[in-house]
Amino acid sequence: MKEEIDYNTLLVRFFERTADEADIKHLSEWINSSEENKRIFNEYNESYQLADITANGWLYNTDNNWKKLKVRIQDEGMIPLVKMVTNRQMIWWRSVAVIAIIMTVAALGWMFKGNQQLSHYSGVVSVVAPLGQKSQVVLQDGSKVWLNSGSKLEYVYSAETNQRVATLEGEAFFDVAKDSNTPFIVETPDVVLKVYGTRFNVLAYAEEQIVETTLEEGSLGVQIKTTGEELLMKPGQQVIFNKQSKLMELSDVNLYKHVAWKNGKLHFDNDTFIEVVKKLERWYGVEIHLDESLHLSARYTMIISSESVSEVLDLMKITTPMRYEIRNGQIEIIADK
Amino acid sequence: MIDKNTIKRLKEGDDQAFELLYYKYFRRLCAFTNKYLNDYETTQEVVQEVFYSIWKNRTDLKVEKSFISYLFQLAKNKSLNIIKHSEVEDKYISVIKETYLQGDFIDSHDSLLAKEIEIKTQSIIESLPEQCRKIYLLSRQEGKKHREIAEELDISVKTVETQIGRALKVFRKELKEYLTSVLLTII
Repeated sequence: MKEEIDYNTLLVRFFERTADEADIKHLSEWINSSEENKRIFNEYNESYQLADITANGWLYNTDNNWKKLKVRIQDEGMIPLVKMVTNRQMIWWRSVAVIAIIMTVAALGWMFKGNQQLSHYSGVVSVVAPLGQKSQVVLQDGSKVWLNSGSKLEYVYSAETNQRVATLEGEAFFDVAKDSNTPFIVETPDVVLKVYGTRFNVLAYAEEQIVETTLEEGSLGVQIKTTGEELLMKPGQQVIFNKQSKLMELSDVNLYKHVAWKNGKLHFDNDTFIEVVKKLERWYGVEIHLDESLHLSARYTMIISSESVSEVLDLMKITTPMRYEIRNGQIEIIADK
Repeated sequence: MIDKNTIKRLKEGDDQAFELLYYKYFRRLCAFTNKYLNDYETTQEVVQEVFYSIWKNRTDLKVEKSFISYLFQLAKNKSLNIIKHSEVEDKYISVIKETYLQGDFIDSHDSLLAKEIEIKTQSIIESLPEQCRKIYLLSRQEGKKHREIAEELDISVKTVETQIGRALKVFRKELKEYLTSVLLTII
């Protein structure tokens, strides 16, 4: 005797991905038994997908995907830094960012000597993003790196260990070119990351208590250098390493919030006054002094893109009784009575 | 903000026009594509490919009135191609194959106002009965498995399925006018 299987339950199991072999078989039978059922399935399918994009906030993030597409389209004009420098003829680019990097690299004293050509696979590439600026570079292997202000990156391909090694101090977003034969290692003072082809953000400022890694795409292993403990990450996850407790914590996060900086947006999400000030200092490359009379209990949620630092401070003034003065690149914030 | 001019500007290579169209249709196109591919990653890749080829071939675009239809047609073709060549081992794909490769669905795109659809589905979700909505969101927003939801709310897995089934029925009923495909029945 056949049991009447409620097709509605089969559909739920199908879309929610809890269907087993038997369910699939019954669903197939039901669908194939009439054109009408095919149509019903399609209607359920389409409406499920529609509801899903609304219920599932992080699904199909337009901003992230748009940035990716833009990079891909612009890539056709983007040439790798090292390749260019190893050519005997200097080729001048329109991109200001690349020029800034060339100058910074030259300033660090890394130049090629006379007629000697640097080979692709030896030599260290050094990139610095000074305070108040961001930098962007394409490495020899095609990986792209965005550096946040006050950060430094060194990259080298090590032939003995067959590894691509990036040493980072500060914050960077990596889009690592896929090469499953050659692991890409990111070294920071406290943790090391091992990747094969993926997009992720690393926050490792020397003066911060924590090291924060956020994975956008692909897979990533985070290892504590002193203990050897390792965590494997999935997209949408974040690992926070506490330098004091030497513990790692894994959580799911809102990706956009943590990688917004690379798209030129500074993101505050219920941040305390102190956190806001610290981020502003780094973003704008200024020093901010806080008067002790300030009442610091307010929290701030906002997204900044092209505003000047005084525009941001004016925004804060709306909800916080404060005054500020800018003198010689230094800002002083005082309570407003 | 988007008008007949926008398409014209796109053809002329205006990247702001392209960005406007992208932001308007990206998610809607993903929802449509995912009904074929049943996989978030691949869906995004396909939709990116669609927009990429729109940009690459912008000067040759022969569409003015039905730009949207063109978008959806591209997505559909790429999707059908992928499922045609995919392994039958994935049980979910087999169901998709049977429905879409053996049926002939004609896509109509009259009411594709992306923002309105999201507002509409938002209000539909909010109007769901309390437990039904709670369970649905635990599954979609928090990605919890039915077993976990059942444990958390101290109910049976069957109840979880029934409640989601309820939501499913409501979506189909309330979103009918926004659905794209009509099955061509050969009489």
